[in-house]
Amino acid sequence: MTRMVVLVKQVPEPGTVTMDRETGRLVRGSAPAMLNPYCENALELGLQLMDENDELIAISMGPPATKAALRRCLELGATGAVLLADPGLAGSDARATAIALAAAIRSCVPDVDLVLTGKQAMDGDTAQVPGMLAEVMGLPVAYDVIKATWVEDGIEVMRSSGEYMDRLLVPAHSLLAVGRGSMIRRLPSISDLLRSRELKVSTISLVDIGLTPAMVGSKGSATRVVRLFSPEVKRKGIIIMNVEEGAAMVLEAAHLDRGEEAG
Amino acid sequence: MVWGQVDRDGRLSQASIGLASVACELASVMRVKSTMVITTERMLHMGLENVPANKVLVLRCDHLTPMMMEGHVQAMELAVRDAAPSILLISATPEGRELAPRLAARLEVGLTADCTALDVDDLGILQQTRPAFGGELMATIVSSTQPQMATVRPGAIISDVSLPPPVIESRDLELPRGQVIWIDGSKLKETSDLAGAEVVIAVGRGVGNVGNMVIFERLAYLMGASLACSRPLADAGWMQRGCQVGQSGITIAPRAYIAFGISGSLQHRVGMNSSDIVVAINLDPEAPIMQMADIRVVADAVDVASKVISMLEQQAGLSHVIDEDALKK
Ligand SMILES: Cc1cc2nc3c(=O)[nH]c(=O)nc-3n(C[C@H](O)[C@H](O)[C@H](O)COP(=O)(O)OP(=O)(O)OC[C@H]3O[C@@H](n4cnc5c(N)ncnc54)[C@H](O)[C@@H]3O)c2cc1C
Repeated sequence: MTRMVVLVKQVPEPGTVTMDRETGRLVRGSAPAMLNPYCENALELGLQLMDENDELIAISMGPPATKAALRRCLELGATGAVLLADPGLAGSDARATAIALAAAIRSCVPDVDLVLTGKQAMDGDTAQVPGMLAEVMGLPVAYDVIKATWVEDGIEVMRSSGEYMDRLLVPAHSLLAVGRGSMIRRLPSISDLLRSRELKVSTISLVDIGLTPAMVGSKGSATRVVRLFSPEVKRKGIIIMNVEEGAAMVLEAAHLDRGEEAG
Repeated sequence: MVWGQVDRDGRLSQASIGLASVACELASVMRVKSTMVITTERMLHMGLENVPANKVLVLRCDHLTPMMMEGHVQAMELAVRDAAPSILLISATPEGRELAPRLAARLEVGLTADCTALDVDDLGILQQTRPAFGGELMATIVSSTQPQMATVRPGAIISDVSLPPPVIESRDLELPRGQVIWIDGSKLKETSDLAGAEVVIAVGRGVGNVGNMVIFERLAYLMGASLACSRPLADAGWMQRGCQVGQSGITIAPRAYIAFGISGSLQHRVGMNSSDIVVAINLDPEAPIMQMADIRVVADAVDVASKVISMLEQQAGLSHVIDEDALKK
């Protein structure tokens, strides 16, 4: 039997979040939320790798409202779901998040074989957590995974990064950070829906995983936002209201010489 | 300290060389020396005399292939523990984006991803600026750990320093073979020529429908410009992902950036705001791209493009006639 963990994140729908200028934190408020698309790909990959008796546990760290994303994972076929929620986690940077997630996996699924994550979250876009988590857990890692199949001595993985498509052999006990890919999103089947009704999202907090607030959250974070600002623009700003003149300016701009340009 | 990445063709990556230049500027402000650490499987073809750094350290080992990062993480960890730099910079290439978080976790330090501006203050604290989610904001971030570590968008910061040739030192390393094995791979596409383009025509949702794309292709052809796009057009498959400018695409700084029907969200602007001249063609004078443009044309994108095309065709026709006249004489 294979035990897999998929880490998922609930993100606000694009364009619905603001930032608190005082604290530099994201204000999620009541913005509509969705499952981070890369995480949904990771879940899909887990489901593809899953055999009859295998386990696929979805774990998320976030506010209580994140339960909705985990419920969705259960409906889609995850066999269990755990939410790590604790006020002490607020303000965690990528490394603090990796430490918290590693502790959650260690206490909920101690004998995990394969860990799946999205390659990055759509809101932060930093793509740091998978690599940091792999190091904290001591696992080999493959990034930008778009396909994976079991083979005799591990998992054969297709990686699509930058200009290259690569085939890799990864040990069965490892972490895969799942990229864009062209994965087909499934709709929950009736039997999955019925099965998922029996399942609960369990909630754990920092004490359950043996961490203190000093180790994570803003206290445990090494990076801190010190300034927020709108990108300044210092440009001329000539306004043109008609097509002919606009077209002439397009040509002029394209042919202007670097040296002639007014500083 | 800067990571010197070696590409699959065996050359030191352009992104690393650019970043080394940025590091030199920071180092001179801080009155310290800058080092580039190259981790590589083979000795480099190119001379390292031109690398903008005070010192180049080449760490060589058979397991340091450009395809797998595991060995590079170990080699860089050794180099950092050895030299204890106050700042460590890595290009945010796909490889750098894997290397950096793993290295940061091993060194137990904070990391700021995908910076678009860097600065040091009087105390030697690195001000790391990156776009922040949620619209029109940039965030400046500092680290409380050493080395202060950041990845930097290739092409986002431009610097040009000239230094005497660096001191070059090479060392062979014994590293264990990585656990992830590369079987084979293929190149997906030729890299687009956008990075070096002088003039870029960029199109966004305001160009209307996919049928209009031929107009802009023709325009780019006639102007000798490269064609780029905003994310929705790449998402829709109207253009290739490699042509997408912005936070999740490429960063460019052409001599002229001419944006047709692009609103200019922050995520788009971070990919082009170092362009020398920005021209925006948009029906909405309040669009963010108009606020930042040197030349703001309030008009329909297709109308302006068609007009430029007809002007160019006329010019071509005209010069043709003139040439014939010249021949007759
Ligand atoms: C994490 C994240 C990363 C992102 N990364 C990127 C990225 O890398 N690159 C990127 O581009 N976007 C990116 N985006 C998306 C970005 O937020 C915007 O949604 C996108 O750039 C908008 O594209 P657009 O300007 O083409 O479309 P719109 O915002 O819809 O703008 C269309 C513009 O066309 C104008 N217009 C309409 N009709 C006409 C006409 N007939 N003639 C002239 N003008 C007309 C309108 O006034 C409007 O200003 C990202 C978003 C997120 C959340």
